[in-house]
Amino acid sequence: MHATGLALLIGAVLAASGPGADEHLLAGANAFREERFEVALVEFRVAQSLGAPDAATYAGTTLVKLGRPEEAIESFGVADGPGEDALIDYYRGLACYEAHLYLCADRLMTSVGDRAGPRIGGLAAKVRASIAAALATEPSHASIDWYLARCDAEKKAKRTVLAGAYCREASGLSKRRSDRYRMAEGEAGTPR
Amino acid sequence: MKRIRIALLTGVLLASAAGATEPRPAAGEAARQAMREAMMKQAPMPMRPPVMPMMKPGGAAPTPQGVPPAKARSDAAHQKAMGSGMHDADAVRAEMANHAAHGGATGTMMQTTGDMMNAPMMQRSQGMDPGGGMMPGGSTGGGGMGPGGMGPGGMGGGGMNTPATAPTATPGTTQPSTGGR
Repeated sequence: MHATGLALLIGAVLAASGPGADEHLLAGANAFREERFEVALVEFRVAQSLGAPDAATYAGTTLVKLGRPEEAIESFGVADGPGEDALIDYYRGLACYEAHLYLCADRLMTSVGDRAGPRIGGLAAKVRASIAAALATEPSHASIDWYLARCDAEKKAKRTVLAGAYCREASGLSKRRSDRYRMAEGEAGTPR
Repeated sequence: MKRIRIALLTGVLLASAAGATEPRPAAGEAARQAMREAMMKQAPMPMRPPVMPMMKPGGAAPTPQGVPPAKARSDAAHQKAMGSGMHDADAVRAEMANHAAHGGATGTMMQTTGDMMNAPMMQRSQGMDPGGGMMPGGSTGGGGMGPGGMGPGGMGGGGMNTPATAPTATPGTTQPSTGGR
């Protein structure tokens, strides 16, 4: 009986790997190109479940287009730090921006630079300029409280990537204050 | 042994049905290429100016914004995955419904601004007084663009208002920073 089960499992694995995932990835890419983002998201999620390595990232970019930045951050998997692909970093930066993670967005947009070409580089520069204006004044206690509360709420919702991002943001904002308001709490929740 | 043979045959048939026996290595590369071009072409700019959110004094912890009914979505995707390549209308509908529930705040700037511009005009054309509901700073499902900018909670109709336009914000809600402490 065990051998029978194993053989069936092998068959199922064969059926659910490789080209099947790529075809869903392609279907998702085509839907994305046609701006059918809901369809694209489903295809990318299926490709992800079938093991396509890029699918989660593409699902993240699609979520950005759908106006669901927080889910996008979770899908990208890592909220902070530049990746290898500057174009993906631009979308990650947008997700951070839309989720009010402005320091995160600024770091990512800085990393984009001109790596993704002059057009994307120009967009990234504009985003950075608007962030700089918002961060020109010292962050308020109430803002830091808000980020820490979000960190806590997201932890409870088991969205760990997002929770870490909010704590890191709180910590970063605390460092911009002379009194380092609640900095230790932000640091404690920031993933290492 | 006979059972194993049957099981293996079943597995191969399953694989065949999924197209795994006819490798198409170009599909993945084509997907990446198509996605890259589309991402480059459709790279959006943020629609809202940055606004530092604030916790109201004595406010409760905010609920996560845009909390997804994640289970429904993943279930739909999961069901579709189980179908292994067959298009599942339910999965698409689940995504559509979720998108509608969240208001689809961003995505295309034209769409949102079009809604904001057209709604009062449409109401006037139908003999209705649009009132102030669509004025800047108001909430229109996709989040209102206020004089101080759109804030957290923009999705799902919870646009954040400037203190001047929303002096009655309830504890636990968010407000944009005015640089205060």
